[in-house]
Amino acid sequence: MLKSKEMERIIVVGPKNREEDTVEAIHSLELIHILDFKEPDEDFQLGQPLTKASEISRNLVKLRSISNTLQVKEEKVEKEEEIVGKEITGKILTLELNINEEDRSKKDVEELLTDTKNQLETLKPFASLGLPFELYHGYRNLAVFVGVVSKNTNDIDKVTAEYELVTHESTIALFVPIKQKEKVESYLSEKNFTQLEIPEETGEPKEKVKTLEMQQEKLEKKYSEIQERLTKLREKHAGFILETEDYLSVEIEKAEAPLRFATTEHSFIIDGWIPKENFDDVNNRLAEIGDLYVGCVESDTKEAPVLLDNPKPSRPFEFLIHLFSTPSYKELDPTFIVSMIFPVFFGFMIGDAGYGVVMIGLGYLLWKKMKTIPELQDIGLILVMGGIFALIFGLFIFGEAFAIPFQTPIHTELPGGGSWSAYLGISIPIHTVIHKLEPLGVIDLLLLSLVGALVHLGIGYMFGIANEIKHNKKHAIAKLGWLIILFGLFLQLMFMAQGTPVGGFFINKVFFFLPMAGIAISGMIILYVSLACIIVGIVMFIPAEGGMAVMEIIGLTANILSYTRLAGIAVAKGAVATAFNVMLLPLLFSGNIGFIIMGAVFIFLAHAMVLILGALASGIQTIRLNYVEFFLKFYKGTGSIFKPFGKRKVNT
Amino acid sequence: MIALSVAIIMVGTGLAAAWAEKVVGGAAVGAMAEKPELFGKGLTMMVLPETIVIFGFAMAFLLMSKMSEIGGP
Repeated sequence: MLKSKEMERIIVVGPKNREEDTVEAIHSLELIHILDFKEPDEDFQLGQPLTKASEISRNLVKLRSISNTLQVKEEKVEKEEEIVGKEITGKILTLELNINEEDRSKKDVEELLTDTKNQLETLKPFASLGLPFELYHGYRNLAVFVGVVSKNTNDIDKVTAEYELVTHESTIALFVPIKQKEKVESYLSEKNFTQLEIPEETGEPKEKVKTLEMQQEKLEKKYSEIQERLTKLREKHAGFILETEDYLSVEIEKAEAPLRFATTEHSFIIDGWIPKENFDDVNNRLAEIGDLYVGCVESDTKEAPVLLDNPKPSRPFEFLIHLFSTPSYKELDPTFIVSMIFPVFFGFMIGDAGYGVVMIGLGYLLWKKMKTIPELQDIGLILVMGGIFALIFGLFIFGEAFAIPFQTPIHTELPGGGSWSAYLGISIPIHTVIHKLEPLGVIDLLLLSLVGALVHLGIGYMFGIANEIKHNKKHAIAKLGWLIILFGLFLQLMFMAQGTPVGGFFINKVFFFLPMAGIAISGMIILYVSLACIIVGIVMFIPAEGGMAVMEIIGLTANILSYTRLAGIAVAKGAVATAFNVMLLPLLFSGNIGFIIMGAVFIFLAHAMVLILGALASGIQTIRLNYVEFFLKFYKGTGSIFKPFGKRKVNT
Repeated sequence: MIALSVAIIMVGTGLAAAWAEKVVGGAAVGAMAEKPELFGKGLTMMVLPETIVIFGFAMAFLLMSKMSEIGGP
């Protein structure tokens, strides 16, 4: 549970004529993590791909280009019947012929179309001016300006008296004597003039535009016809394409597997890791092929790939671990602890029966509907577990649903004085133990968070001890020292808060056997026991970590206080939800149908928002507490994931 | 006075955390673009400064409870 699966290094040796069968066998087993052979020498060379590899990869390339041209998308199609290897090449060739032709004409039409559009773009301003093209060229004494201006050109008289100006909206054509060219140029640049190129054409621009427009229309029609034909082809063949692509990807993986083997002239050697418990399965399956040698090799397990081994309810949390870093083969796998702590912290922050129920529902939906995306399914399950704890905390500690308490709180000065019992007219026997919005309640929550810190960090240090004890006793003792300091700090914090229910509980009920005396330092009483713990701890970690590590005690205090975020999020979320209730609930009791409907809609939206933001914030903060405060106490995580040959990400 | 201190604490720590996260977040996204597998570590670095605001929050509540003990701001 806390260890990853035990691995064993095996080698498989056989003659070349058994290579294909062997690849087939280990592919179907999905149990061997092949180690690539990397250093060829005189005796051993890299393997060659199987002979069928080149044909398969050719087909695959063609198929992918077809699939690209047709823009086949995964989700739309239903799978067709099983495909047979031999027919594939022929089918792909016919398909390729059909599609290439269409594709080529599609590209031609596209090119023509852009061409026509560009031409139209340049001619349109001239068409709007209405002058035939001949008028723009061939002057010896006239300068011609055609272009677009952004300011009015009515005041051209100021610059020159001799001119001919034709305008249409912002397009202008201006003819002036050549000797005034420069003057006019500077005038025009004030008007933000952009010159248009005059095309080498003759005749009426309007007619040209008309012909081009007709041409464009024709081309567009042709284009949509081709598009339609391509769509038909897609609908007809998408199933085949996807199915075959899947099939060929598997085949190519198999055919190219020998590239990862070491070979001699007549034999091949596969080197890899398998889970120890599966050795017999592998051995038996390979024995069926015959002529193969299968054996275990003594090897340093430091480099072994890691296959996490957790009970089923903890498995959804494995992805959180991999997201941080896969544990190395020799260290403890924290998944189980994360799976115990995560829902509790998450539930504590949400702490509302109503939200809990909604989360259980949403999580279940995710898990049920997202069969194709395992990661989302995992998140669904995590949500369900978090929701269950939110429900528990909501019922037994906070006594509220959707931020409305079941019973009216005693402190009536609190905002949102209503309760479920008052609204529904029946007394629900669930009482609020801690109220999130009372100062005293908040202090209790802060202290409960610190209890979480003690438990969580304590487990972290214990893991650290377990990890270190095998190879470095000194470091293990240092971790134990830190654990003792943690306890000392916790005791001191509880002592300082002994006037509150939580603090009092720990000081008077749990640690009653410890002497509660201390020295006063600047008005603060520091317990002798805490002081002793800290000193003992320092003595224990100095041999391994040095004197400077004393500063880290402040870091540990910061780590402990960091858990107060649990209380922080719980209060903030509760406050926002209560604020919405105070604003919107009166609408429901206003008696006006319109207001009631509006209120219901707004309340729904508001709570949906609080729920989503709350789940996000709680999720991220819980992950952080695990990644930063917890993991940094013991976790190194430099392992590589166990990737058996043949296992595919998406199952078809 | 206490109420004012609480407000200053929350504003100050909030701004500090936001500024720190801006710096770290930018760098983290940059690193992730290069190496997507750094997501976990990036997120860890990213949320570190948040501790500042949590401390601020804890202090603020301790002060507020003092306020209710004394009875009024």
